[in-house]
Formats: sequence, structure tokens, C-alpha cells
Amino acid sequence: MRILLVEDYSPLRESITEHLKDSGYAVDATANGAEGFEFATRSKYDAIVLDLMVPGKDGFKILTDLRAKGDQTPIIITSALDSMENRVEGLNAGADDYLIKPFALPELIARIQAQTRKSYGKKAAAIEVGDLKVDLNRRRVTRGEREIVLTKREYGLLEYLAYRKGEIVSREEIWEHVYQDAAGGSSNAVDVYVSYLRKKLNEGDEPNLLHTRRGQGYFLDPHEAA
Amino acid sequence: MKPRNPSILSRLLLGTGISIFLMVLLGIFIVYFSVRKSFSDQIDTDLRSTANLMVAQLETQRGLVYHEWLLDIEDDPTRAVDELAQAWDLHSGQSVKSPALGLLDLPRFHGALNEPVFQNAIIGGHQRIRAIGIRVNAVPKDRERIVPEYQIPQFIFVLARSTHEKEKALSSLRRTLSLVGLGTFLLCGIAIYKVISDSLIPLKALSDRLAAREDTHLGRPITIANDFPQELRGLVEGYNLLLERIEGVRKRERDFSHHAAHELRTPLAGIQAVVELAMTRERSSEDYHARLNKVNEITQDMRTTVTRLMNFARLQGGNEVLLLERVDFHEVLGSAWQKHERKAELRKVTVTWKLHSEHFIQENDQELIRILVSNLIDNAVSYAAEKSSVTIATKDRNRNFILTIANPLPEQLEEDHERFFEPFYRADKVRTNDEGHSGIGLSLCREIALTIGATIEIASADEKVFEAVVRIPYYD
Repeated sequence: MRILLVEDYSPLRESITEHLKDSGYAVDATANGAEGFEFATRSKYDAIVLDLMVPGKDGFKILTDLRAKGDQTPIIITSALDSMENRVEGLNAGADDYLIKPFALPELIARIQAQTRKSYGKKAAAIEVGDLKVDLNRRRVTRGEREIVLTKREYGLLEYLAYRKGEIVSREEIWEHVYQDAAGGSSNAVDVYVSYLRKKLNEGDEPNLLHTRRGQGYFLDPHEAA
Repeated sequence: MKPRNPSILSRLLLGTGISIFLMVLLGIFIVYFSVRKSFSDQIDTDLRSTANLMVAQLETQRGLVYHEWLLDIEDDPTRAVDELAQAWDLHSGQSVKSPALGLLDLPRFHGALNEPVFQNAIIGGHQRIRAIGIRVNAVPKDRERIVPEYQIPQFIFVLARSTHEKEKALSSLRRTLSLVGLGTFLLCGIAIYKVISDSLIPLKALSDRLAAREDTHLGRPITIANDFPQELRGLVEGYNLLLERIEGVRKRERDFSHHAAHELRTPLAGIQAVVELAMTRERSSEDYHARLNKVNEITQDMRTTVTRLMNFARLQGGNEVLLLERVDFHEVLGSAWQKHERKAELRKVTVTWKLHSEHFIQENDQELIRILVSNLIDNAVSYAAEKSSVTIATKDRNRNFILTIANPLPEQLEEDHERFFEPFYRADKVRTNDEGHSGIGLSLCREIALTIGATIEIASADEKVFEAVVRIPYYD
């Protein structure tokens, strides 16, 4: 999952970025509102974490401008402004959630997960694909009775594919949502990560769940033939 | 000494009571003395006309005197009993008198010839009279015969009236007037008490409303009905104005506390995030050290913010006492720049000095000047476009020391320059939350400028240059 973080206070920005990356998210972080707005319009994010009082472009302005452009990316406001009026104003402007500073990092992660689940139409805290179960809260993956240990990147890839269960997800989309940082990179690496993940998911004679549609992309499906 | 709490009701009652008493008293006196004078005038007129008639009946013929007036009295039973008259022959000294006098004599007095004079007297030891005395010549009976002046006998004629009835009437009038006066005084007193009491009811009601006002509604203006007394409207309007000002001060204080809390929330969030992240897993001692170092930096930032907030609050509260000492502004500028030199190097920002040839030295508060200059330089270095140059200039104009600190901006400057001086105003390109900036640096500068009698303004000719100008007047 790919997150845009707009926060001008560097210690907080750096800590959130590190924690999100540790949790398997791809993160683009900026201290400048105008730059954040440019990122949001240029790339597709699964969620945006937005501070209201940022230089360059006011957080409220970013929010309203994105919504005016029809961008429905979940936006979580993080702000020191804690009054009811501020929260109502933020939510009315189109934010999906409002988190008051100071906050605990696990709470931010939980809220990001809640918003991404909602945006992908998943209400449950776990996604099942056949006998594969992805526990979104605990970030734990099991197949039958077997627990599958994944790296942060592998989990991120599986989570993204699970959210889009049954859909063909292109290599570029995977790269953009799971791997690519603002610095850029190559989507060819996706094939390698997919092959690593597939090996961990399918053990012995277990039926394959992660399929390749040549020239189109990858998808998770319990019924599709290998 | 016991404090005095004068009562409006008592004062009004006392004041109007004394006024009414004096007016009633004056009225009584005027009426009484008018009536008394009228009585006296009536008696005097009667005496004068009667005396004139009677002296005309004092006749002489061939050396004999005829008191015709006395015959008339004696012939009239009523007059014989009441009329008090007496005539003295100046030549012989003998007198004749009306029967009513009996053994009594009237006082003998007179004025010039034929000039009547009046006199009050008491006869018989108790009887009060009003008398007219006149010196006259007897009237010759034989008008055709010329009698020499010295042969005409002269008389003193005194006619009197008893004033008993008049005194009785005046006494009755005094009683009546006293009663009427007392009644009037009491009625007026009651009416005035009622009117004053009724007039003070709105004041009492207003006082009760104010006393009953809840803490949560202190700032709400007092509403008044259309029939509210005109004289109290000014009081209510003044009170509402005061409330409005108090509410403004309270709001500023609330906003300040609110914003101050917000300013500390973000670094607190930073500390919490760094600590939480450090605790997510086991780390090397170097890693822990680096993270603790970050917490320490945030704490330093918070300390700076708190110091600024406290300075700002103290200056806003007017609690700052100037400690005057010799301040060399160029020296202060030099040392302030040194403090920010490292930050400038990191941002590749240089300085251009355009200082006046002579040092500006003044008795002023060195610490406040240092904070003012340091904040302005910090602001300029922090928000100057990278690889640009901050200009620090001083000049002497019209007995003002003028300090200008300017920095090029990466983006256009906010049009409304006054907003930069609003506490916590930050949602702009110039001030940001990072690097410990609390959003009150320029507000603090303005407060300091006000405290030391200087002015500060943003006077940028170019939209991409932030230029702060401080004017410090010479103090004689």
C-alpha cells in the first residue's frame, strides 16, 4: 500500500515515515503542501496523511482541491487543532478521518488500514482467498493451519493483491502501490517479488493461489487453474 | 474611617425635602405677610379717610372751637362705643376725646402740619391699636372773614382703631397656613418618595440581572426594553462596551492558551512518535542514541517555544519593566548574526551588511533588543530562499534609528502584511512549524517594539522579498 504523508514538522514526519515503511507501506513524505498536492495529483495513493498547517499550500486547500478534482483517495487529517469546529470543518471538507496530535503510531496505522479497507470495499479485518487468510490488523498470514512468515515487502504485495482479490493487477500498479518511492525505480523487480511470494504461499501440493495472466498482470484466486 | 455609602434615595429625598420645605415656608411667609399688609393698608386707608373727615369738623369761630366730630360720634350709638379719637389743643393743652376712650388717652403724636403719621400702640395696658396722628388747623366757620394765621387754633388729632380683630384673623391665618404647609410638605414628600423609588426600580432590576448573570454568559451584552429609562441607557451602553472589551481580552487570552497548547502538541507528537518507534524492536545503542538525540532536539525546540510564549505573554500582559542600559545596536546585530551563522551556512544563505557609518548607541533594554534582533535575523535566515543573501541595514533618519532586515523569498509574499504579526499566524509560505518556529516570532517582535517605544512593519517593495523595518526614535 502506498501512502502520501504531508507533515512539515521534520521529527514527526521522519518517525511516521519510518514506522509506515517498517509496517510494509510505501511512503512518499513531504513538508510542503504544494509539493504534497502535486504528488497526490501525479500518483495514485491508497491513503493520504495530511497535516493542516503546512507551508506552501494549506491542508484544507489541498483537501478541497483534491475533492474538487474528483480524487476519492482516503485522507486522514493529523492536526494539533483539536476543537469540535476544526474537526467538523475538516470532515466536511472531505476528509475521511481526523486524528488529533499527539497520537500513537499504532493508532495512525489502524486508521490508515480502516480507511484503505473501506476504500477497497472490505469491512472485515481479514481477507480470505480459499484457505489463505490475511489478518489485516495483526499483519499475519496463514494457509490452513500453516503460518506463513513474510517480509515487509512481501506482506505489502500480498495485502494489496488480497484487497483486489479476483482482479488482475498490473505490474505497474503493483510497483506504484507497493514498491515505488518518490525516488522512482523499475517495475521489472515486481516479477521477482511475486515469485518469492508465490513460493511462500504454495507449499507441497497446495493449489496455486497467485496466478499470472501473461502480458496483463497478477491476481489472487482460489479457483483459477494454474 | 468608616467608608461612606451614600444612598441616592436618601440624597434625593433629603435634597427635595429641604427644597420643598423652604418653598412651602416661603409661600406661607409671602401669603401671611401679604395678608397682614393688606389688613394694615385697609386699616390705614380707613383711618386716613375717617381722620380727614373728622378734622374737617374741627371748626373755629370768633375764638371758639367747635368739635363737630365729637357730636357726630356721640349721636351715633355704635360709634360712641367703638370710635377712639382724641384732639389736643396745642395752645391750651386741653384735649377732648370720644366716649369710648373713657379714662384712657390715646398716644399723642403727629407729623408736620396736615401730614398724617401712623403708629401702633397699646392702650390700657393690653389693647393693641393702630392710630393716625395729624397736626391740623381748625377750620374757620366764617369763610368770608379773613383770620390771620396765628389766630387759628392748632390741634393734634389722633384717631385709632383696635387691631384685635385683625390680630385674631392673622392668628387664624397663621394656623391655617401652618397646617396647609405641613400637609403640602408631607404630601409632596410622599409623592417624591414614590416617584424616586419607582425611578430607581430599573436600576435595581439592572443590578439584579447583572448579579444573577452566569459565568458562561458574562460576555453577552445586556439587552434593554424600549421603556428603559433614558438616563440609564448610557450606563448600560457603557457597561456593554466594557463587556465587549473584556470579552475581547478574554478571547485573546483563550486564543493564546489554545494556540499555545497547539504549538506544544506537534513537538509532543514528535517525541511520542520517536519514542514509540524506538520501542518497536530491539536496536543498537547507536540507534537508541540517535533517537534520544532527536528527542533532545525536539525538547530544545519546545523550550524555545515555551520561552517565546512566556516572553510574549509577559509583554502582552504589560508586566515587562525596562532595564535601561547602554546598548550598541551594531554590536547587538553582530552578535545576533553570529548566533544564526551556522544555520545560514547550512542553508547557504549569506549576509550583506549595509550599516550606518556611526554606531547607534542608546539607553535601552539590551535583552529585549537582543530578542527582537535575534528573532528578525532567525526569521530572515530560516525563510530566505536557498543560496540567497539576507540584507541587514541601518540608517539614521529624522532622529530615528532605522533597522531593516530583508530576505528574498522562494515564493510570493502574502499581501496582507499585518497578518504576519498575528500570534500563531502561519498557514502561509513564510512561517512554518518546522525547526522550532512557534508562529509568534514576529508577534513577539511587535510586542517588544511597542514596549520600547519603537515601531515595526513589513515594508516590502518586492513581492518576493520579506523586509522587516524597525524604527527606534532617539530619546531626549
